[in-house]
Amino acid sequence: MSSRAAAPPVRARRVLLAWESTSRGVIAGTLIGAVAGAWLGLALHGPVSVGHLVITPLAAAAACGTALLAATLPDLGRADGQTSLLLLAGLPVTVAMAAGGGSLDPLLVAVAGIAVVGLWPGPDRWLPVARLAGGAGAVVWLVAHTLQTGGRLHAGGRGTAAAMVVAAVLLIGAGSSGSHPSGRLLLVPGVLAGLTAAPVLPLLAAVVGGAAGVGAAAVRRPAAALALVAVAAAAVPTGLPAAHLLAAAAVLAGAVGADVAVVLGVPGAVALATAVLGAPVTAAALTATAAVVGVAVVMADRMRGPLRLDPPRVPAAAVGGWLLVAPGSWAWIGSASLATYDRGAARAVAIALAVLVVTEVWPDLAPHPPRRSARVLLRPSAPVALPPRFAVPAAGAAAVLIVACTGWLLLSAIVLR
Amino acid sequence: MLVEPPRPKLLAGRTGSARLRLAAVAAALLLAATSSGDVLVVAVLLGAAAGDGVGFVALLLAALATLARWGTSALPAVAGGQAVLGAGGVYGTAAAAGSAWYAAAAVVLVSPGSWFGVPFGVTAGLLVAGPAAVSGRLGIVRAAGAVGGMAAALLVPRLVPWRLATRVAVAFGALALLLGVGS
Repeated sequence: MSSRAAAPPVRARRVLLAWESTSRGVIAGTLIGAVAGAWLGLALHGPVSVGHLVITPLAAAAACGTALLAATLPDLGRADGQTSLLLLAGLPVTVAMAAGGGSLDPLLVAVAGIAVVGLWPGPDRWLPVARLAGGAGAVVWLVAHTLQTGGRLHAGGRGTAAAMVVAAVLLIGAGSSGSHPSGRLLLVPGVLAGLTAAPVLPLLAAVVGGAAGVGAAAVRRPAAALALVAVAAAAVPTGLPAAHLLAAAAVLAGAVGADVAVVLGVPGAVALATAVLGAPVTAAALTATAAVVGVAVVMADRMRGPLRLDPPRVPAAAVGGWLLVAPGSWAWIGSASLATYDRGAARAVAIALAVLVVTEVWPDLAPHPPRRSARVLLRPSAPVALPPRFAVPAAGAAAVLIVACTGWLLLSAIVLR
Repeated sequence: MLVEPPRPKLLAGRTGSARLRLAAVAAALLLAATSSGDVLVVAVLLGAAAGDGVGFVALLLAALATLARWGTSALPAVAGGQAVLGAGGVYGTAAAAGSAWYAAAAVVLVSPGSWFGVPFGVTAGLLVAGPAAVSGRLGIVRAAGAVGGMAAALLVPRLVPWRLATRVAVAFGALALLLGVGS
């Protein structure tokens, strides 16, 4: 009799929160928490100068998000985890440089590198579309950046802005890949590109970001959905604080990695509602609002699975809790008028925690909710992937293209400037 | 061999789900009763308490209708506006008053009943007759609205089938939003 057959039957239980911990995970979580906490401290305490480099609060917040996403890479103690350690230390710096008005080139090189690694076919020789999207997004952004003047993060014209919006959607799509953990690191660069380009082409950003966001919600990709509606929200006049909140929610949802993390977008949705009410009615504003509502409705219908936490994800969950309860304390997002939200959220969380504690001590006090039929309106579809015969040629072509563009970028950065 | 560490899973089973829903009910009740926080947050909490996707759509539409009618999502502003101008269900144009009534009806229709329906009723009362209780008269109006809303939220689930109720609630929510935008 096999060991599996000898095991006693396990009663199926509906689990809402699962906790898994190892000693190595605790060490990794502590390291990640220290790195992310340092960046968060910079974000909360204003600009800091390091030599000739000025790290703005927004840049530090983006770096903090990158560090939290790096926490989701394979275990730092394993052989393939050495890259994770390198990314945990280096990638936030490149993100901070780009988001803070410094050189964009290091981040573009890193994005290209991550995309190349992600395009490497797995043992099954399959190439999910999400990985290909990452490569294509990196190529589009590299070309757009190289064709405009200056080496900083900006959209020089409508053509460049359009390319950056497309690159943002592709990179965010690649960041939602479930089978390729390092692809999540493309989430922050994608959001940066989208938020930079959206004000230049508001209608395009709102339509593309909104439609893609609802699509991402339909296939249960909460992080990508939030990131894409952040791009749409940035198209609203005075909507940049809301876009920052939604982008932060997207990054944290990507780090936490559960469907329920989509609730982190509530503060951003509230800020967006305030911005839409205070701004002139435009097609972009209406489209962004409809996109947020659509994502909320679709995700509410499709939300599945428990929240699985392990020590490396604890820092992201803690920052997510902060975002949910007191987003008004994040000055780096800009003026979002969230004082009322903060007061209400603090009271709501306090009473909810009190109820949970009381019902933990006296379980009999918890009444059973009335039974209602929960009918599923839409069924999740299988992930889209290229047929195997196209996988290797497509991966090779895309990899060659990215390597060529990376060389072009390095050449232009080193020789021509 | 299947080996599990002690207490590897938290909030497991029906009890965990019921406790989370109860926590959402308590939070929504606190926000609605004290008119604090944001109407969208209340909609999310009530959606979690209802535990139904279609019901959440109706609640979201009702919240957006309130947003469109009062120009703010802050519940203190909604209650303060009603204290100064008049109860939401009677003040303003016919479209504005109708928006408040339809939004309240949408909230009541989504109520799951029993104790879990109490915050739905209080929220519905806040939308129709929820002035800030800055005087005794306004406090009576507020209390009457809350009691009426609770009675409706407890009775409607017994009289209307759930599937029909949620779909009618979505229609009422959409109508409330249209009237709120047009008011």
